[in-house]
Amino acid sequence: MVWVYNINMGQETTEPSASNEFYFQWHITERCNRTCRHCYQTDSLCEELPLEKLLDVAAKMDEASAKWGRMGTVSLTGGEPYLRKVELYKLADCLDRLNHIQYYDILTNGSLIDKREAANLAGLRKLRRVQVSLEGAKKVTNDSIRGDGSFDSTLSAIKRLRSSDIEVSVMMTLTRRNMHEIADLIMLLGQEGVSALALERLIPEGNGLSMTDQMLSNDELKQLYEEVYRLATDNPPVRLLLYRPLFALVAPEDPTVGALCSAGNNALTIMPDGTVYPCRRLPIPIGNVVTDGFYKIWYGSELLWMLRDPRNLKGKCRDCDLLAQCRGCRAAAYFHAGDCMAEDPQCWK
Amino acid sequence: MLEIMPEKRLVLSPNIILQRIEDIGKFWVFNTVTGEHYTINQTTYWILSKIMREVSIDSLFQDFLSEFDVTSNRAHDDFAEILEQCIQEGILIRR
Repeated sequence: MVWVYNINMGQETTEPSASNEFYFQWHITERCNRTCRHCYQTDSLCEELPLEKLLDVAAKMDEASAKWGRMGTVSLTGGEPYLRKVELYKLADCLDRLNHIQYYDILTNGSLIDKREAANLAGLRKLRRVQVSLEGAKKVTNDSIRGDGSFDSTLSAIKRLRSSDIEVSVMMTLTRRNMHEIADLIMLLGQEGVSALALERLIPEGNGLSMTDQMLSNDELKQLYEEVYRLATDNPPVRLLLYRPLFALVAPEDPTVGALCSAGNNALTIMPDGTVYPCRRLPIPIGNVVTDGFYKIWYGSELLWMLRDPRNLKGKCRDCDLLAQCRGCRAAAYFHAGDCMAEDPQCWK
Repeated sequence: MLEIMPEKRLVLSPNIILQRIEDIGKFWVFNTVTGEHYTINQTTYWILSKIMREVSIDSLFQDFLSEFDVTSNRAHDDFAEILEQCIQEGILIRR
């Protein structure tokens, strides 16, 4: 028996930290108390599984992780997961008890985390960190995307979480509006005791369709990634997470930089009603975990098999000499060309 | 050793999925209920995919003899061994 992973025509691949991990991004609700302009959600909300079903899904995650010889990792998110606070804590308690779930993160806007919630979070055994989002180092920049008051609210949440000794990371979606604020944001986050900063590209889907003018050009992205790599290797106060497609182009010889897209390789996204996507940013349903289970989806999805085989790539991605390190963002290709195997539209190579 | 009995019908378990990437010589069997997964060789894949298409065992054995350059006795043994293993693993079921 052999684990089917990363079918790459026999090449060794560089995928830092992913070798023993299977990642589940779990959206337990689509409801949110914010209306961020770049959000991949739309206004339509899908049904939510009741707690009993959520616990069943968690058990399936644990079982699948064990079967595949992986340590399961989970991001509990939404929408705003604190809008299902009771279910969120019950799930966290459940994950704490499961043998093959190594840790989980909670991805939240932080607005509903008061002192008491921060204390509650501190009691969760396998909670690795809480991730919040900021869209810049300046209030005006952030609030123009995430709404008035969101900058102060998020910083307050970070302070409360850090006061309870909870590890915090921040995610920022790169746009023309905030691309020049990364260095300042790193300093700000360092002062606040944040441990990591993740940078995501804007994918024009959901509400984000209205921000296509904010997407970086290939040259802009190249310059920005080069700057980010320089910042990351200059002993920053916050660790910059560089394991995303296209980062490998900046420093192909550095094994800590870049990563293959996890879609089809070592990750699945579960939506509130149990619908499964290869990635939240690639919202093509490949089954429902409640009715199909993970095995049928993971083994049987034609889309996942297509994603796993790099010979299905098109355009410049197909013959790229960095295929072992980068295959582009399949979601970016999907929303740009209508074909998730098309070349990454922001690749500058 | 399994006796090849033409009157018996073997079918792929409904829980089984076959996958292949032939260009790189990779063939797999997946069980969608238990999660078990097996790498198999091309010959086993060839047999299972024929059974999936509901080819009878008798006819399949004749095809096997034509397809692979082996003696009848050797083919019988190999064929029976593969079927036996697949039955034991729940990949094939008797009807």
